[in-house]
Amino acid sequence: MCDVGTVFDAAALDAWWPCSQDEGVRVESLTDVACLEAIASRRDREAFGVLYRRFAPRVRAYLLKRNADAATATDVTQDVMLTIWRKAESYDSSRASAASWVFTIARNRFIDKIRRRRRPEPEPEESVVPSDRRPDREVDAARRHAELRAAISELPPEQRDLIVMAYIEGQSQSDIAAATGLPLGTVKSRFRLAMKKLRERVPPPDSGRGA
Amino acid sequence: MTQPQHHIPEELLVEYTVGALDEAVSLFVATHLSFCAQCRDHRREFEVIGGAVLEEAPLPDADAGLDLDAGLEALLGRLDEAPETPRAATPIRDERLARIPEPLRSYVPVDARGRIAWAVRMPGIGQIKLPLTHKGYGVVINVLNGGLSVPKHTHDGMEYNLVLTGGFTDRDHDFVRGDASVAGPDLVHELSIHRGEPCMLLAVMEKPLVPMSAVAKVLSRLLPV
Repeated sequence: MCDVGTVFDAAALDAWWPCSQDEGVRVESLTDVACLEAIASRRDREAFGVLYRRFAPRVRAYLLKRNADAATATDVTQDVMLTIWRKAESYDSSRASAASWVFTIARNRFIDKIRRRRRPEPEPEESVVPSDRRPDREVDAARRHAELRAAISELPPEQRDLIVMAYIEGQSQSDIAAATGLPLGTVKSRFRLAMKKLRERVPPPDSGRGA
Repeated sequence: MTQPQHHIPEELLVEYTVGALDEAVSLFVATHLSFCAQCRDHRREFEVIGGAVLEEAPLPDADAGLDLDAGLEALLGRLDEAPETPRAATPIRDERLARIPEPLRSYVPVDARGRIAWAVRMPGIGQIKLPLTHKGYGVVINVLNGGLSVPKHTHDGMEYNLVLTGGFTDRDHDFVRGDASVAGPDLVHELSIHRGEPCMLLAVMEKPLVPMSAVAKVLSRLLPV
């Protein structure tokens, strides 16, 4: 009686399911850069949803790590994601990974809103224009991002910890020395060593000026 | 424009990038960045590293505490809100002010006619104090006539200088527009201002200047911040 075959209308399901699944796969598998481009060029809300799910939890965790209380961290996370929606067209994928752009916004918002401390920014660069697009460099930025993540995870723990304290907690080298009890000279030399290693493993691109 | 030859030390640039610096020192770094393509490239590279660190760092709370569906739903309703429009820039009526790039320019107090109200306490030397939101550092712009010298002195704390116009020589090094210098408390130095155009100099000082001679003592009553 209860034949599954008769409950499912296989033909109807075929007509509906593969298409919908393709849609789902297509959007979910968009790269960060493709999502930002979809937002910039056609205000694509679905692409925004993908970015939101990818970045909002980590942005919020970062804010908590910098001692924001839970409610403030949530508010500032929303604010960061709204900024991404509004400024997507100013993201230049040939210069930096999407993650570094997102976290730069998060850091600046944190400084503005939570610490209510001003951090002056240099004049915006005029050279950031869409006509400047270089697909080879975009691939390069994504590859470098992956390589940097690997290089960071392979740093000796005592060097990686300092880098994390600086970037995640926003500590100066003397703050780190005070917090860890290490002599300032040790902090400085470990930091320099770590940066040197990252530079050797993942050399910075040439600036591309005049190219 | 020719590019600066004297740059921000790497560790200071990292501290600026991660947001560890006070407003006063940030202002010094950011204004140098407005002049300097090389330091902007380095700064961008530090941001790129930061993006990778943030994805790689252990953040135990990353999966907790945020209702993603509700958060996204709430935000989708706000996407069409109009963003705040930035204030329109006011026209610059002072040629010295025009030579000062942002973000420094907006910090410089001007009088009702839009001119920098220099305090001139000694022939050839003018000074204006910059009001900062957060105190703790002395932040001034000095304008020194070409050919002057600033006698031997030292500082109890860190001293950050950025040349805005003209130039000076310090221990055989020439510093011109856009060049940055960072001096620790142990450094004793004297500056010879280049002849010609007056030297406009941003000075950020942790502690007042300590004069080493009678002339400098007189000067210190005029220059200190």
